[in-house]
Amino acid sequence: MATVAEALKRPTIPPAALRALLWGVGVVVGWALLDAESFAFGAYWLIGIAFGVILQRSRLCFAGAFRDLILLGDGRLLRAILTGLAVATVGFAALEARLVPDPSFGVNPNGPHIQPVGIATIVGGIAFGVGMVLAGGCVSGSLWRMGEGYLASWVAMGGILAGLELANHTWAWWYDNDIRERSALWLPAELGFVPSVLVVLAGLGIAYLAVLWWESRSPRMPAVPPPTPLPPMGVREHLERAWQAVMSPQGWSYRTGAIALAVVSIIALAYQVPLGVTGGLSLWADNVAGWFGRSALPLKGSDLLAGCTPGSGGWMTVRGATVLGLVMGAFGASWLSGEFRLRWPRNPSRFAQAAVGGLLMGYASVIAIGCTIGAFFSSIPSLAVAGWVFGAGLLLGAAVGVALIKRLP
Amino acid sequence: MFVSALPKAKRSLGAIVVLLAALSFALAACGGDDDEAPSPAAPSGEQQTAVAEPEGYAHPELLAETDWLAGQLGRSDIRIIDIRERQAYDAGHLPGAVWYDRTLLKDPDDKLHVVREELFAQKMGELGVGPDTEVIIYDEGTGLWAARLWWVLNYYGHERVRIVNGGWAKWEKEGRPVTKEVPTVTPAVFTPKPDPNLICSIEQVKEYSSDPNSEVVLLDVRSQAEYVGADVRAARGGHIPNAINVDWTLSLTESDPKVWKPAAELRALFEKAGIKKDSTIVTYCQTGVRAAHTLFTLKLIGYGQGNRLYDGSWAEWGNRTDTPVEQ
Amino acid sequence: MVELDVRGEMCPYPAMKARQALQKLPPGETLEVLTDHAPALSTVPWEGAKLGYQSTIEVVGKGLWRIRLVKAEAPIDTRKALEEISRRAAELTAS
Repeated sequence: MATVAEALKRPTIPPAALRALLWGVGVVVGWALLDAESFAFGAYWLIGIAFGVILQRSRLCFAGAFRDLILLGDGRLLRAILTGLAVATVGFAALEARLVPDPSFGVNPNGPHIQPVGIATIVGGIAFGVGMVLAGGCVSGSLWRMGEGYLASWVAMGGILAGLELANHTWAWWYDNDIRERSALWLPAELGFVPSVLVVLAGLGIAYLAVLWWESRSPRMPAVPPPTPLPPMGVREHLERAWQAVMSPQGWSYRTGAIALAVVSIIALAYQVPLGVTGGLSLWADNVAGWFGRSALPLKGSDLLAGCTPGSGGWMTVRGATVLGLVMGAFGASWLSGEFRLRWPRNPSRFAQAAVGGLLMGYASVIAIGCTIGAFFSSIPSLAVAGWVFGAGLLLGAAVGVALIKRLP
Repeated sequence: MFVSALPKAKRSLGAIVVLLAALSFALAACGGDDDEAPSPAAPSGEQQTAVAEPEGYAHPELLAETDWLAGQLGRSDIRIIDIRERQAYDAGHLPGAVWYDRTLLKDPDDKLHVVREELFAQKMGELGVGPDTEVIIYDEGTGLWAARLWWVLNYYGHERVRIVNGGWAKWEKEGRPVTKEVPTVTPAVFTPKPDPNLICSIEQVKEYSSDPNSEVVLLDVRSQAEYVGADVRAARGGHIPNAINVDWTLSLTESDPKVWKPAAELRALFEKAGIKKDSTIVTYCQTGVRAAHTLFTLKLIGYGQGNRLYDGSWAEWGNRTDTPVEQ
Repeated sequence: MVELDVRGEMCPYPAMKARQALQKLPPGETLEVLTDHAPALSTVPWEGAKLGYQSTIEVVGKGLWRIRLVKAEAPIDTRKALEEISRRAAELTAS
């Protein structure tokens, strides 16, 4: 005990092994506490941790994907995400085919994110696109950067929570005037599974080619393979090499990260709830509002809707567990690789941007029933049409966001 | 003005952006026209006298259209029952509606089976339901819980029951009067007369299931995922051997507020599944609630003779060791 | 020599501001970008290369770098330059 305390008090950083141990204990304790409440909470805590580790190690960022394509002509992130979407699509389709062997009946499977397609979807996508570029990261991006020590992301999260609750209070207007009339378009109901998967993969392929074409207009940065190491000698070297591969400051490539994320996404669907974060955040925001007597949940008609819905009551939900796991995973990945550092932006504009951007993103996630994860990365592979419409909105919104940030200090 | 000042790269970006915007708005706006089911024939507010129920159904007197109901609110021989959650009732309900606890549709001591007669009779008596009362039930909108109460009433011999088509969702959307006032009710005497022809025991279901040439159709109204065993809600997953699957939600239109689909569409739906007008159908689900809903639909369109509900449903069948299971 | 201090900024501000600064740079001047954001080690030189600037990077402290951008004499072979930028950035962040 004394040595641990000493080690922590020393100005020099404790050795990596000690950090790993501490973090590992935290993971297990968190799991045990959540599992005691429900198996699902513990499972999604672990899924969230994998989610956070992957995002932090690969620096995958949906905001960056759209923004850098437009601003810098750099499509590496977006192409990686398109690859991840393709992998997830195949896995999701296989799982859905087991849930609903005969899609022609026209009843959507329960679980996958098949949101209704309407004005709320496109408006949500655009608003989210603007917000994410302003804030410098989407919702999951803000969560993993919170775990990495970026204080501006904490401000963004505050904006997100406020935006979520504001939207919860105005939900009934959106529901009555748009959402309730709309269909949750699911491709297999019209086309069957195999043609639907082919259509989605073709769509992703076309998007990939379009990004390549856009990139070809300016010189492209090649991916540099990591330097080939000397062959490992013993078991210890093998272990060190493996640790290095995962934990090196170099990180993972975007494509590795996106594919790993797709695999985690498929695993999540296998447990019946696809990856999603804003539903959990929305519930927390509403619970806090409830302390002041201003709760807005449950959302009208949401029990009939699919997507990242908040539900009602209680504090812990599957999506809440995912959020906590995400931050814990990102924190662990950055702490263990020596990248954790509290970072404070010098430019005051960044704080205002984080708050406003967060507000837009929070609001958009409610009306679109999900964010870049719930309404996009989990929606397109679900073979839903909503994900595409939201994605188009993201692109448009990001273009507006880029025009805005160019004019900011 | 803007366009000529922009360098070429930005102009093509702009063009792509505008094209994408147009495409997305078109797609989003078209997203709602998927509703193939035209609204039921009952014209709302366009005629002089509102019709009680829509056309085409064999037993239209099972439904109550909202515009007709609006004109019946003062009658003393009807009893409107709200079977939503208590909080929802307290926040506002139809004028003259009383509340019934939906957990009292299954017996408190024997969760697998219907609420026992004495308890039900007492509750109905307290709500003023007598032998001549026309009971009109509504729930959130799908008619799910309303149908379960409809079935329990029928089972105990009370046939004058209607379900509000579209439920609370439709009533509220149409801006009709709501109140928080709880009406004073004169208690009545409800005499239960259980009808064994409306219910099916596990022994009977075992018989029907084991005989492939059985005249009786076992209809599983759960989701496909539960039917095939991908979604398991008991010790075992799957369905009763020889049962066919028609999801209960297919009785209703897709948009919200959900109402029953037109008769022709419903008949086509059941025919496609292999059910004929003169079949005998036993419906089941997990606890007998969704099954009651489909039983209601079948009666509405006049399909099947001597239809029954397997009340134990999958909660009973799936948790026993002596019952065969198919996937 | 013009200095651009983008410490504390994360993507895309180092690259975006570097580009804006380079576009406004008087001929013959050099730009020095001070940053503590690792991804900037590839994006800033890249923006420079697109505008015909060569780059060198000096490690000023732990996690702190100074990127010096000088106008190239002859047109840059962008492909070679970008490979070099990528490799250098990877090496610098690996340590």
